[in-house]
Amino acid sequence: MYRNDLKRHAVGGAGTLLIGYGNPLCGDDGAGPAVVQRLERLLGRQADGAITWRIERQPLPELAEPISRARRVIFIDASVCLAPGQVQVHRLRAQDPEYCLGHHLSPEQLLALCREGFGACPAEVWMVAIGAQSMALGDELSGVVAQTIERLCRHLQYRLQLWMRHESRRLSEMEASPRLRLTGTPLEMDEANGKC
Amino acid sequence: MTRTITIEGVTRIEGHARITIQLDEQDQVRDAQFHVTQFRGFEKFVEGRPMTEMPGIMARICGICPVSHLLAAAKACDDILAVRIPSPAVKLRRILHMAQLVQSHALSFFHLSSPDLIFGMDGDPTTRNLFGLIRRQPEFACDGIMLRKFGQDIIGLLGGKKIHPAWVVPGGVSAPLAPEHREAMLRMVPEAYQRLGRGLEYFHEVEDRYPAEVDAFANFPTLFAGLVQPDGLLEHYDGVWRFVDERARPVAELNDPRRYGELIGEAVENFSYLKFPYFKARGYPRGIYRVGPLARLVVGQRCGTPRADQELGVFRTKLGRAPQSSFHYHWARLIEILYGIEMIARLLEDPEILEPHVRARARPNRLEGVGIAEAPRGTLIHHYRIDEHARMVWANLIIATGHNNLAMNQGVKQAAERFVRGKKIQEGMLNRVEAVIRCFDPCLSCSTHALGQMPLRVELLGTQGEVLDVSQRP
Repeated sequence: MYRNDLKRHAVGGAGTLLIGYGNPLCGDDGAGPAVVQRLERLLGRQADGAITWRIERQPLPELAEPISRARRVIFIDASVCLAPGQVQVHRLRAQDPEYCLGHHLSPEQLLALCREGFGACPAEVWMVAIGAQSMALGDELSGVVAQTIERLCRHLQYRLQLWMRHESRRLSEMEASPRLRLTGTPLEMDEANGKC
Repeated sequence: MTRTITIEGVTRIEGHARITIQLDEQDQVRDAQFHVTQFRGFEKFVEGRPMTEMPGIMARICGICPVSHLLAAAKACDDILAVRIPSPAVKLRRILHMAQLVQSHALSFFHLSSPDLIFGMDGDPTTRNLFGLIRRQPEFACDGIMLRKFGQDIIGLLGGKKIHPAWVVPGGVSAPLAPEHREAMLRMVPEAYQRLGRGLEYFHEVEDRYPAEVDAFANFPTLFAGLVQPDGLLEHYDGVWRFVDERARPVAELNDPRRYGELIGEAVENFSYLKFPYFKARGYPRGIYRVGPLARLVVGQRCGTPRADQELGVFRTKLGRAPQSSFHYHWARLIEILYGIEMIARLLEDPEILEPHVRARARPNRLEGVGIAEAPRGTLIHHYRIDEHARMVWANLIIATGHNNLAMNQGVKQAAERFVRGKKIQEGMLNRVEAVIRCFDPCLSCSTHALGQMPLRVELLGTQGEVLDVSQRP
């Protein structure tokens, strides 16, 4: 029998969940999946048990359950609102939808689903958006996005390794330094600028 | 003065449609029509493509039930190759098919239709959706999400990806089942039973609150059609295509899918892009029939799995052998989810499921082939013709929702006559008219779906086209 008082709203589970989403058959829309695949190769066995990888076409309601079990979630997606090759990193928080679900479910709505449905939300959630040049039919990334992904993956690899090392102490470099610009790269973390 | 009400953007269905309701001078419903307003053109643009591409292309028709199109396309190609599919491949295809049935039915019932049942047909439309549901009944909503995940995860494990898997190929499947994937799927089964059990229990709590809707939601005698095994068991992948009358008495049966044209014809109306299939022997439009979960339970003698048969017994005890109201599609859908989980478990336990020989290879041996399968929404037919170079020269697709088109139109009119009246139209009245359509779970676009975001605009128009009243849903 159902209870209608399930309001645990716990914070944080364990491990890091990386979700790269987009359609790899639509050019740069496949940037998110490409980053996840690349990082999985770079980190290999080091990530076992600490990082979970997921490649999706789009955020779907069933992602709410694995997200609710993670301590940290990083969404990686292509964006048409940024200049080609530009990367923007910002923190996400659960957003109460004014109306309801549509064809597209945003990561913020997914977090609301986690909180309201599964009673838990990750302690921190990040969105890494990559400016796309072309989303035309085709399974190749544009040159500028491919180059960006290489640089981005090195940064993310470094940060993920830091997190893995410090996971037991629950330290988060991003929490300590929410505004950070990494010199010589297009990576930019801007907590205040939540949306493009 | 006659008036027309237009529901522009029917919500919580898969695809794009509108409903028009025509009122007479006394504000009584004179007619109502369900318009499918999109056009896809798959049958035309596949011409000239290699036959072997058909499963991959046709699966793109739909993002909700791509597996059904994949299977119907592959079966049409099997027919052209004239090969016998290895038995393990047939079983693997069936598991994939059942996984899709579970996820699609879970989406339809838990996400699209249950908000009407839980909040009421007159409930606030801004909360009558999945998020409202999560606030009101979080465990129920999560059960729906997790049942969909169950189906999608199995599709992902078998086909390599959850949407548009390319694993089903002409002649079988492209790779055998890995033992670790079999174990992973079996581990998910107990939780799926538990979640569905709670959902069924809750459905039984709320179903009796809607006697008026049961009475007026496409509640009329029609034929029912669906695949069935020769011994009368429920079937979704193969078997014979049987038509029964309103008392479940067989009226026609088709053993050879290639002869489907002897049983049904397709009519065209100028108000919709969706064709109107009809049972030829009764003519158009008297040859109205229904397909989908309710029809399959009427056509079949029993399910053939213990839990589903037990629930089917309860269903028939309460509603009779052939319930006429389309409101009962909801319960039928839940029974089929139960059946789907049981069949997945049964097939995974089959000793030959891990066999490596899963594909028969051949060149085309015929220039024409037909594939038939039961999609979640009903019978799906793919009919192809190729040239001597195995290039497509012609295709005809009869989609499940098309079979139900006559019944949906008649159902919309019945509900409108019952619930829509007066000069001021209220949202609850129109929601009931939409809810009739949701009972059938139509897949209109077949590649897009909407979960309640499309705007609903209702206009009352005078005979000269002047707007008398407007109601706008956010």
